[in-house]
Amino acid sequence: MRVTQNMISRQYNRNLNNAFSKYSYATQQSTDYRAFYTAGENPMGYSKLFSYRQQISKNDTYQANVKNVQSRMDTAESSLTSINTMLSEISSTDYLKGVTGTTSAEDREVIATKILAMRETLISTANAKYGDDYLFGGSNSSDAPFTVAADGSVLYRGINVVTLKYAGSDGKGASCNVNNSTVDFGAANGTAFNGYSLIINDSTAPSTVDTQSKTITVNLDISGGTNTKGDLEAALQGLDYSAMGGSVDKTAISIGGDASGIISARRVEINGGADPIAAGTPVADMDALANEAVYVDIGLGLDVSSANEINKQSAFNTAIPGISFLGYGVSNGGIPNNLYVLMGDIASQLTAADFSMDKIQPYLDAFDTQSSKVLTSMTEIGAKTKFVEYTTASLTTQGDNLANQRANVEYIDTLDAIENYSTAAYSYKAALQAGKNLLQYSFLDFMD
Amino acid sequence: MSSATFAGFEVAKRGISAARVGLEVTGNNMTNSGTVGYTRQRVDQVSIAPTSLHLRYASGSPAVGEGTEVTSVSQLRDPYLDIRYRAQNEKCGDASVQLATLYNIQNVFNEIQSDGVDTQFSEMIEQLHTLADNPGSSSAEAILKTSASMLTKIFNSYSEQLQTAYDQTADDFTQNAVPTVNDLLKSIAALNKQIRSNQIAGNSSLELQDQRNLLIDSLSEYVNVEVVTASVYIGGGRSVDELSINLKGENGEKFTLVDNDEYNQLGVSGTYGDYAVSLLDSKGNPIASSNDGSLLLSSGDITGQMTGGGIAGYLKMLNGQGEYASSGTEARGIPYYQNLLDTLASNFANTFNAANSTNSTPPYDLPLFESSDGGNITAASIQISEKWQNSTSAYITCTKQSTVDGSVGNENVLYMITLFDTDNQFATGGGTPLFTGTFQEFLTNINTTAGLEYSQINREYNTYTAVLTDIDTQRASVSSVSLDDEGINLISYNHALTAASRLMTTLDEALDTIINGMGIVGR
Repeated sequence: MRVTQNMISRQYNRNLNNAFSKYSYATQQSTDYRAFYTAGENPMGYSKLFSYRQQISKNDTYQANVKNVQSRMDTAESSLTSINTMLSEISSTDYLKGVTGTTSAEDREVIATKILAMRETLISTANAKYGDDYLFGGSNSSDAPFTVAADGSVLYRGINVVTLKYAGSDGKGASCNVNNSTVDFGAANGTAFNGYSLIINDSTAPSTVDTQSKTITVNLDISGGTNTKGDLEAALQGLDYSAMGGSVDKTAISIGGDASGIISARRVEINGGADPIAAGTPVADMDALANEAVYVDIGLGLDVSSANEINKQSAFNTAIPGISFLGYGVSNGGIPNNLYVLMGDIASQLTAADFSMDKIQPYLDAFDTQSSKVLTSMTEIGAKTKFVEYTTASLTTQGDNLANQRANVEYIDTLDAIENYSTAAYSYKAALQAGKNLLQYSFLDFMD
Repeated sequence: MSSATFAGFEVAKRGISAARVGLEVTGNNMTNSGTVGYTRQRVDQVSIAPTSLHLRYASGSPAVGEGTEVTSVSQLRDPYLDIRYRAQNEKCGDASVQLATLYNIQNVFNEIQSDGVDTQFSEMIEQLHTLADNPGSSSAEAILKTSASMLTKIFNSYSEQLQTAYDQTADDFTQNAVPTVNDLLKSIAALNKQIRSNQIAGNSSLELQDQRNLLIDSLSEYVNVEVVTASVYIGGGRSVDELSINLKGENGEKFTLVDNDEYNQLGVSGTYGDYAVSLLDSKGNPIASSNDGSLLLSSGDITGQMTGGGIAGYLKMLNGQGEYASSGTEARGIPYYQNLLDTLASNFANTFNAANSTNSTPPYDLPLFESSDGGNITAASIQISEKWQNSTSAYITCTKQSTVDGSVGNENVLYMITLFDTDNQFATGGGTPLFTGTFQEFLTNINTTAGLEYSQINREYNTYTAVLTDIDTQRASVSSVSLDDEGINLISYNHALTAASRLMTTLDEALDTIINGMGIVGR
C-alpha cells in the first residue's frame, strides 16, 4: 500500500490523541480511585452502586433508631428495678413482714408513715423521663402519665385508675378529655351521651350526630384557624341532638380550660357519668391503654397497610405503659389493683382504730400479686433489651458488609489505578518520542 | 528517411515542453502536499504516432514516432472510496449527534459525585423516621417540610436542566445544522456551474473538483446523500461531468438536492417535540413529490425520509418520545427522558398525597404536593401544597387510627416510610408499562437507561469512526501527495528535460554540420 507523509502525520495525530486521553483518564482515576464517573461507563455498576447507597442510608437510620431504643430500654429498666427494690423492701424486708395482729399502734403508725412517703417515690419514678419524653406514658410521651388529683385519686392519662372514668365525671354527667381539658356533657343530660364517641375533624362541612354509629362529629376548620376550645364549645352547643330522642339540654354542655386553647383533630370515647364500673367489667379504654404499642422501624421489614395496621412482627414496640405494671381497676371484693392506691389503703388500714389482720390481709395479698407483675414487666424489658442488642450487632455487621460491597463497586484497587497511570504515562511519552523520528525525513532531504 | 529537416527540433521542443509541464505539475503537488482535500495530479503524456497525412503517397519506409504530447493533467482519485466514505460518514454524523445529546442527558441525572433526587429521597426517609419518633412534634414536621420542599426544588432543577439541554440541541439544529446544509447545497451548485463552464472551455478544473468533493464530504455528515455523476459529450472531442446529489428516502425514493447548477433547500419548522424538515426549491416553494413522482409530499415534508446523517440524529433526539409515543415506535430522545422524570414526580406526589389525606379518592383533602400551574403534577411544576406551606399547626396525618385519649400515634408516618420500599407500577399515560419498582429504583433505572443507550451508541460511534478512518487512510493512500514520489518525479522530469535539451543541441550541431559543413567543397 502506498504510504504518504500526510497519512503518517494524520494517523500519528490520532494515536497521540488517544494516548493522551487515556493518560488524562488514568490521571483522574489515580487521584480519586473511582471505577467510573458516569452511568454510561458502567450502567450495571451504577445501578448496583445506588442500590447499595440506599441500603446503607437505611441501615444508618436503623442503627440510630436502635441506639435510641437501647438507651430508652436501659433507662426504663433501671426505673423498674428501683420500683421493684422499693416494693420488695415494703413487703419482704422490714415493713409489712413484721406486722401481726399484736403489733402496737405506735409501730403501725411508723410503718404507715414510711409507706406513705415511699409511694410518692413510686409515682415520681413511674413518671420517669428520657430526655424530654416520658417513658411510661404509652403513646403519649409529652404529658406526665400519672397525676394525683386534688381529691387524692390517681389518674393515668386523665382516667381514674380505680373507677376507670375520666376525671371530673364523678356522677356529674358524661364527659371526655380533649387536649387536657374536660368536655362535660352536663349532669342534666344524665346518661344520654353514654357510649358515644366524639370525633373532631378538620373540615368545613357541617357537624353531625349519628345515632347509629354512636358518634358526634364536630367539624372545625382547624387548618383555617378556627379550632379553639371556645369554638368546640360553641359547636357542641349548636348541634342538633333531636335524633338522640329525649331532650338534650345543649346549654349544659361545657368545656373547661382556657377558651382560647387549641384543639387538634382526634377521636375520644365519651365515658358514662353514673356509677363507677363494677369489678370485673372489661373496660375498653384502660385495657387498650395498658396494651398500647408504639412502633419503631429497626429494619425488621416494616409492614404497614394503608389503613395503618401494623404487622407486629415487622417493627419494635417501645411502649411500656405505666398502667400495665402499676395495675388498674378493682378485683373481687372491691380491692383496687393499683399499687399506689393500695399503698394508701394499707396505710389507712394500719392506722385505723379497728385494725385487724383479717381486714388488712386482702390488701396485702393484692399488693403481693401486683408486685410480682412488676417483676414480670422487668423480665419482659430484659428480653427486649437482649433483642435490641442482637439487632444492633446484626445491623452493624450488615452495615459493614454493605460498605464493603459498595466500595468494591464504586472504587478500583489502588494498585490498579497506579498501574494504569504508569502505563498510560509511559505510552504517552513513548508516543511523543516516536513522533520525533517518524515525521522527519523524506526523499527530498537526500536529493543533491 | 523522409522526415522533414527540422522535424527533429519539433520533437525536442515537444520533449522540453512536456518535461516542463511535468515539473510544473510536480511543483504543484509538492506545494499542495499539506492542503486538505487535495488530490495529487499527474501528467497524461502520450507519444505521437507518425502520420502520413502530409504525404501524397504512402511511403514504405519505417515510420518513426514524433515525440510526446501532454494530453491532459488528471487527478488520481478512487470514486468508489468516496462513495464508501460518504456512506460511513452519514452513520458517524448520526451517532455523534446522539452521543452529544445523551451525554448532556446523563449529566443531569448523574449523582456519582453530586447530590440529587436520590440523595434527597434518602434524606426524606431519615426525616420521616425522626417524625415517627416524635409524632405531632412541630419541629420534626418543620424539618420534614423543608426536606420535602428541597426535593421539589431539585425536581424543578432537573426539569430545567433537561429543558436547557433540549433548547440547546434545538438551537444547534435550527440555527446551525440546517443553515450549514443549505449553504453547502448552494455552494455545491455554484461550483457545479463553474466546473461545467470551465470544462466546456477545456479546463478540467481539478482544484474546483477537489473543493466540491470536500463540500460533498461535509454534506454527507448531515444528510443521507447519493451522488450521481454522468459524463455528457458536448462535441468537439470534449465531454463534461454533470453532477447531481439526491436524498435517499426511507424506501429508496430519491429527492433531488442538487442538480447541476440548481439546488433545493431544507426548511425546518415546528416546536417542542414535533420538529419537521421540508424540502423547498431555491425560491422557497415546497417540493411536491419524489423524483419519480411515486411519493407525494405534503408541503414538502420529508421528516420521515431523513434516515441517516446528523439531521436524522437531531430529529431522533428532539422528537423521540420512546415508549410515550402515541403510535408506532420512536427513538428515545430528550422528550422520553423528560416524560420519565415527570412520571416519577407525579407518581411520588400522588402516592404521598393519598397517604396523608383522610379521603381515599382525589381530590385529596390533605395533599402534600401540588402543581404550581394547577394542571397535572410534573417535575417542573411540583411544589409543596399551599395548605401545607401555610399551615401553622400539625399538618402531617401521623395516624389514621383513633387513639384513646387523642394522643398522636405514628402509624401513618411508619406507613409513609414503607411507601419508599413499595413497588409501584410506572406506566405511560397511554398505559404502556415502563417499570415496576420503588421510587429510587425507578430513578436509578432512568440513569441506567440513559447510560446503556450512551454506551451502546458510543461503541457504535467508535466502530464507525474506526472504519471511517480506515477508508480515509485508503483514500489518502491513493490520492495524497508523497514527497518521496514527487522528489523522484522531480529528478526524472529533470532528466527528461536535460535529455530533450541535449537532443536539441545534438540536432543543432548536426544541422550546423549539414547547413554549414556540406556542399562547401571548393568554396
